[in-house]
Amino acid sequence: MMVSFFDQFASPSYLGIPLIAIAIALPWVLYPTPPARWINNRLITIQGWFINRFTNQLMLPLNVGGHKWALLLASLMIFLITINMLGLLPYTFTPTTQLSLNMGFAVPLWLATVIIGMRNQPTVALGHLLPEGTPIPLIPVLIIIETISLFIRPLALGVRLTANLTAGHLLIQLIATAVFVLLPMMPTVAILTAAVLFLLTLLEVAVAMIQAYVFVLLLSLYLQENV
Amino acid sequence: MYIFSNMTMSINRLRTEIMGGHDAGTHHQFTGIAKYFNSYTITGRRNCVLATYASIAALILFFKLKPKKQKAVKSS
Repeated sequence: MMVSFFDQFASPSYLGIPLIAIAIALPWVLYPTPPARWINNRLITIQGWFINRFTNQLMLPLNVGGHKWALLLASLMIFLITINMLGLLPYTFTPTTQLSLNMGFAVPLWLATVIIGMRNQPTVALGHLLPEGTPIPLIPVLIIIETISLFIRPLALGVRLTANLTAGHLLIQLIATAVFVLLPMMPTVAILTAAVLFLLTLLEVAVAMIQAYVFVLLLSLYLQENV
Repeated sequence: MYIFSNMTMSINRLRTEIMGGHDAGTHHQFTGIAKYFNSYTITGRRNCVLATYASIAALILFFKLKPKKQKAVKSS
């Protein structure tokens, strides 16, 4: 069997049983549910503090109507950041490298923001498609451009997350393979490549967190325009 | 008093520009068709968007429903 660099992105299965559901449900298992106690233990207190702080920060630019999305956006952020970080461990499968999953998040959530805007404030939602102060000859062109940019948003959201994570994982695998191949032949070069691999891994940890944050932040910005 | 009220209006406009806030367009006085189709008030912008979409839809409908010319059959 030929092993390729893209095997890490294949949907996992064991003896013919697909394991994708376990891979997606894994983050849920890792966060303890706070029990009904007045004061919890340190882990749950820190967990609650982080989630509250993050949600508060995310909801700052949104008005009261957008606060309904607090649970959805906070849980989406925790889900994405956990999946991305777990995917950096060796021999793990990262569900967010699959375009289907990311588009499954991006398209319905973006569409929800557009429908909310069209339903609650159609004039403002339609008016946003023409920048204020546009010169008259440019009006039709700019409306077409803004409409195209509106419809490209879910595509950009999904592909951004997929491409960043896929590229990162591929780079890590390529450079790690290079280190293994170079070690018997040119040990010095292999050590330098290993140093590059270490720095790349640090970068990928940052990218994993940042991309999850960017996904949720952009969604909150689209919501802010429409609510 | 007139100079003071003018200064207040200019400061308010400057504040809107600096803060990048949405201009309600209340200080624009449009007449005629510009009252309904302009790029300053929110309703003007909405009407421009709707007019553009209607024009594109009309163009598409026109080319779809246009009868196709059939070539005349030559007798041999």
